[in-house]
Amino acid sequence: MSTAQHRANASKASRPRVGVAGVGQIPFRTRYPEHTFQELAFEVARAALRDAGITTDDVQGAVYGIYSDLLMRQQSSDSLVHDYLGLRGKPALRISAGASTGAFAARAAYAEIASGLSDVVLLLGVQKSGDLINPENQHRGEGTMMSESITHDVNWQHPVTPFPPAAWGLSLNAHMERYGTPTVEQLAKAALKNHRNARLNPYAQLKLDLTLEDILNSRIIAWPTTMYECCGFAECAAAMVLVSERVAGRMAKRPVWIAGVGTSVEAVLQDGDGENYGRVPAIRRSGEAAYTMAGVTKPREELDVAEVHDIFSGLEIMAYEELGLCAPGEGGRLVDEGVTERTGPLPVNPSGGRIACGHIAGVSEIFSLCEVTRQLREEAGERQVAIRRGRGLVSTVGGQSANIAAALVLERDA
Amino acid sequence: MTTRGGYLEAEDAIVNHYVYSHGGLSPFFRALKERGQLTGTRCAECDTVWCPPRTHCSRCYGETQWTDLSHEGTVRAATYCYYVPSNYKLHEYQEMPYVLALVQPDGASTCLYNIVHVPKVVVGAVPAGMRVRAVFRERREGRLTDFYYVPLES
Repeated sequence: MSTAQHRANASKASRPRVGVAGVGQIPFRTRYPEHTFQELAFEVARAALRDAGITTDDVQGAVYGIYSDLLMRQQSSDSLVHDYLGLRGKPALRISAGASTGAFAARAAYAEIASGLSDVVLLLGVQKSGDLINPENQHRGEGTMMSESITHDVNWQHPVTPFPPAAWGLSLNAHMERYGTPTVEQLAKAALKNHRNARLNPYAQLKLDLTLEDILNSRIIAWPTTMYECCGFAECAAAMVLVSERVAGRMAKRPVWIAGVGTSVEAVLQDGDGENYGRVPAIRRSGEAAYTMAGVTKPREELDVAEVHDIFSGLEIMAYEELGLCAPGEGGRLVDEGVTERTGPLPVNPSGGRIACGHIAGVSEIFSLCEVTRQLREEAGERQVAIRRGRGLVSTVGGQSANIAAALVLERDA
Repeated sequence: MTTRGGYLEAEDAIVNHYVYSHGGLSPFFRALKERGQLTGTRCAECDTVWCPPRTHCSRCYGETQWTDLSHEGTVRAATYCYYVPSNYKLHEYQEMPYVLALVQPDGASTCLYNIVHVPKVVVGAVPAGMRVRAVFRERREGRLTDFYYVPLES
């Protein structure tokens, strides 16, 4: 079957609706010495169930987004979490897909309900990461990054590009050579926007009072990306209750519907033809699939809010372009014009994004889905954005070279 | 050892040692180590030349045959790396800052990740389209780092 036929089938009006009935979050933190990974999971599962007004008796199964066993110090941690949450005997599924893990898990949970297999599914991302150390200098970040880095192809990337900002920086540099944008100032402005947004978010890890100069003058990691333009690395958990339309009316809150889901797994940027240098095709394809399914044709006008993966600020700007918020090469201008500011016409990363709110693969993506759900419910407090059309977007990307991407369109009933 | 709040902390280490096979890709790593030669695989069906090599063509599932590749190539993308955590093995063979690039060997359909050595690492020193040539190290272990690139004219 062709891709076009797949898309046409995916957009059939007869598709059953899947709703978000509950969300549960805790702040991103460098470490949670007071919690094991089971306890982190419990905190957000309890919050999501309470938000939906249900108990574990109502949950028919669970889908877990768990990225790394090495960071967790445990293989098959999903079954241990499942037991701790009191869901023993019920189906459980674990998904891992780089820094798109949580969004791929959301797709699996969506399919679990849309297929008719379940009516109520707990979607939960959890990841410890701060337990590792470099024994030479007791530096935890270095221990964590060393473990995380083997996501890179161990034979063909890792020996020369072990640190994610370098591999992903190839795309950004190619973009700058191809289009002349974004400028270093635009990169810093996008980061500053997210740092400012995080100061209003009780779930944010970093609440730094930075200036544009602070960001531009912080150390260069892989040119042109500076330290304050890179995502944090945290441990955290986030959870959602997903329900079928059949049972949605029994939940405590009106559902926010998952209107579109798209995922794409691309090659690791090694084609020689040059067509994709400076582009992020996985983000583009996942976005197109989600828009087609949701019936979004003019995302810039039809979306009220977006959370995208600003693993570094250049990636946020490239995501604007791949997600159709502007033409290729014009993402930097969107920043200059303030379009994506929290008070702008299309706020992007009102949470503070991965740069300031926090990041760990598996959790961030579900966290972003929680954020957009809260925004669409208009319960985001100080960081609430204006909701006009009732639609929001979550876009995530990860992998060996920004090659594993997902997009979800959420919408509330008018 | 207890943290603030009285939480008990314990030490652990999970150490894994590997002896892994390069399988069907062994000729690439053997040619690097034994001959100081870059190799790839050509698909007999669609003529795609894979480097990194593949024993079967991922585009058409055809059989591939080994072929020596030119040591000259073209930079398709580059970035300038100023920071890598101190515990990375990279520090054993590479000083900071360095230029990481995707290089398409002449005759290959694909690119390799590798380092381009330039006399002075400054932003813009390795633009896309720059011609480079591979330099092989004296002591080779059958790893990607057995060679690096330098600008062709140097």
